[in-house]
Amino acid sequence: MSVTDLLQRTRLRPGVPDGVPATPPLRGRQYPFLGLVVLVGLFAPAIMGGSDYDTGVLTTVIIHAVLTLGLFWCFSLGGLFTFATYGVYAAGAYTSIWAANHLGGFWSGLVAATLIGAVLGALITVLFARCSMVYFAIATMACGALLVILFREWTSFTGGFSGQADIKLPSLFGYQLDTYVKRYYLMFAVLALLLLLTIFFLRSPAARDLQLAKGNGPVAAVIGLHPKRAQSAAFIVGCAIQGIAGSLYAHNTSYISLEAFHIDIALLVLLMLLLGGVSSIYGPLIGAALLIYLPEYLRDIQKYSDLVYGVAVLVVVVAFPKGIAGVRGSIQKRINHA
Amino acid sequence: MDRFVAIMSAGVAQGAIFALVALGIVLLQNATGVINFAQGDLMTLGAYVGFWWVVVQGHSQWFMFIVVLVALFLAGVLLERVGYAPLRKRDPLVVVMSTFALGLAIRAGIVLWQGADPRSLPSPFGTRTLSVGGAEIPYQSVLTVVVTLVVALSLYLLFQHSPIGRQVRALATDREAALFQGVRAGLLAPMIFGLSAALAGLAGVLIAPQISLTSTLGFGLLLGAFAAVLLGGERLGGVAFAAVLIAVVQALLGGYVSPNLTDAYPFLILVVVLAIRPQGLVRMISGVRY
Amino acid sequence: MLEARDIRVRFGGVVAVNGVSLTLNANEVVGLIGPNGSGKSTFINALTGLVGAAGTLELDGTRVKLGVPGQMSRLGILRTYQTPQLNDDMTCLENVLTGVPDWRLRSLGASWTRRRSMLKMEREHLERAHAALAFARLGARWDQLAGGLAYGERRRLELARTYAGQPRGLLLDEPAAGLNHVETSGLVELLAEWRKEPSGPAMLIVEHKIEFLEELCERMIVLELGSQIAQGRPAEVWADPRVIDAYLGSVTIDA
Repeated sequence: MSVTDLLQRTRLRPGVPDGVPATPPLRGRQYPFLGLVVLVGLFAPAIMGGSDYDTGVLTTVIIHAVLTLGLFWCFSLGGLFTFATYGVYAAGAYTSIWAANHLGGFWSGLVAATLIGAVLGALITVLFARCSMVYFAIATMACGALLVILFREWTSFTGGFSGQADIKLPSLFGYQLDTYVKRYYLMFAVLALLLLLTIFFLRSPAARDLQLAKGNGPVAAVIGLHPKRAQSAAFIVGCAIQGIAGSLYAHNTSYISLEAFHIDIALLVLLMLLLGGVSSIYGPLIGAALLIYLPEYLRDIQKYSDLVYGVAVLVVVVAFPKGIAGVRGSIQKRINHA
Repeated sequence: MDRFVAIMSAGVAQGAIFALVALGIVLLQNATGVINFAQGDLMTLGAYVGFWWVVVQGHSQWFMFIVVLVALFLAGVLLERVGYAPLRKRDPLVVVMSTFALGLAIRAGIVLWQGADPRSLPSPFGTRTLSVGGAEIPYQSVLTVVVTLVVALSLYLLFQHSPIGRQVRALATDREAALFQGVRAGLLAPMIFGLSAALAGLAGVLIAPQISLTSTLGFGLLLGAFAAVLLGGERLGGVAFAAVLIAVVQALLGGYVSPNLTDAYPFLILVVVLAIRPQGLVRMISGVRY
Repeated sequence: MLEARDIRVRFGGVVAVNGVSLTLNANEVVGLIGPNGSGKSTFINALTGLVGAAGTLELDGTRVKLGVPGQMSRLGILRTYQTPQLNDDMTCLENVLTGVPDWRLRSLGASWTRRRSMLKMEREHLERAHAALAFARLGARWDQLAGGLAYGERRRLELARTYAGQPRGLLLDEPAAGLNHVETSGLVELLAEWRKEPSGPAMLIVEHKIEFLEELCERMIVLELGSQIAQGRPAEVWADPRVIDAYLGSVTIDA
């Protein structure tokens, strides 16, 4: 329900002239798109072929979409680029496993993962708030590396490189989600909920203030907003979401090892965001779908995938700064200038 | 005592390597403002080019240095043309992303070229060692330190007394003013990228004989080099000193306290420096506090 | 209302503002003039916390801490900038909305948990923002991206943002810079109109254009190289030999 609908439904107060136009729906049709996504998501397992493998790929898409949504919050909304994604992802995964085993099942794991993500995000922003963008990125790189080293050494908690297999399956009101398909629907529901929360945020004055804070920090400060606080808040949410992704990843497999958490994930997620559209809420999902499915269909060139990723980021950054969601605009501009 | 000497010499040699990589980063940063996230991978590339020249092609060990320097210089220029020039007007963070991506591309390219199995590059001195204070110090380490000193000195002379050096220093002090004065940043950039890459390549080929060669060789050292850059205040002299300091501390802590955490120390230093002095150490710009 | 005493600003070795004192009373319009480099903009930056400064700043007797931005706005003193500072990716309406001085429910948490109240507040703000745009003669452009506006319109948009803020005092930093003759007259009209409103703010205007200042200002202060060299009514100031001396060759003459 947009502000337009609300305004139109509740009738303006008497005395306000008709000339005051209603707010338009915000740029992009976010609620209808969410509806579309939910619809497609409900039927996706059937569409992609019903096998465990196909559903597994679908689930990987969902998990990466969540991870990229986290980066969206940190970077697209908060203006702070983070290389620490893989570290927070790992933290979420391991914390979730531990909490599920010691506190009470998958759901406490999910909550714990969210919390640990938020805590790590808060720690990073508090420590490095005063850094410029590039130094902040370097700092997050160091944090990611430190986290992985921590997990490497703390083998009692994580199992290090030899891995851990004692992972609780998620269950809903006692109903165990023991098949890929059931878990897929759970994860999809989590993604949909996160998207809804993101849309709620975007349709609020807080999002506007954040945009000003991100783009014109000193001006926002003089106006009386607190730009750094707003950016930090978005960053913390982003990290919490990355933690959630970790939890989803962990409880979907029967074995987890440190090898899965490598800095190249940060690059992969960046590429997903760039390809899908840096400033669009559609971005994470489109990007994740593209980058997970493309190698599936182009199986022969899979060994070139890293090389392609590296070059692709460069190409996208140079030629399509707004990603696929902005391609129409980019192409139009090019045509106009030609 | 002999253990101490062994550890110290390993630390100093490692510090020399850090210094070479870090000097390349600082050079580039001073001249263009760019922090090259592919620097570590250029180092790996250097090591692999050396490996290819000596082991695969079977040529002379000493000529290898020249080959690596030239190849990496060209690689640096290519990097500049592809990853920096089209992005000059954009946000510095975009340049960071593109160099990071190109670093990944280099790593992937190396794997495609020489495979993912660890390789080894023999030292020009074989396994001969020098006996100092009861410890056996590999000749390779000595070579590393000597070469680094020579290079550092040459860089110093270059930048204090040559036109190019003056231009780079001008750009570093006040970019706009320098550009107004006619410093041709467009010509300078490829050269400095090339030089910076050559330094990384040299570091790679110097350290390669002492470790096993994998595609992530240099990337692991990248953050350590950043730590040296920040701790050293982004000036050539300070950075070289900081690099050696970090490596020596790392070696000592690794040797006497905990070997497992050795690779964490540079990261810790980086985190601490950035948390306390977010603008880097020496450059304190009075900015807006908000 | 606003009292600044002995404001000093240094950048490294350079003294930009050298002990300037200024009083702005409610309903007053004061002009701040001086040749380029005399420290006028820096003075405004110091008052609004964008640069660190030494000295005393008081608003209605309340001490305002120097060097920390945001307090002045929250106390009702807003400012504009030498170049209009807008977010080009937001619409005109959105830009103006950021200036509404109602800080309730603007946090991230509120966007999730207090949605109903937040949307109600938004509606009220929308009316105010539209009114501000109408005041600045930009009503029809409310959903256009700020990046697409012409320069003169950008100036007016920035003014609309401050109008939405309903300030008691307004610090204008070269508001007419870059505007042609027609646009400048339009701006003067707009500001005069605003002054006539019951809640019209006091104004401190930094400007070079004489016509602008003559129409609006009751009192002028002249800075040169960071220090005040003259003060008084416009006629007095223009006749002051020190002012003429400082300005020789740098007066904007509109024939």
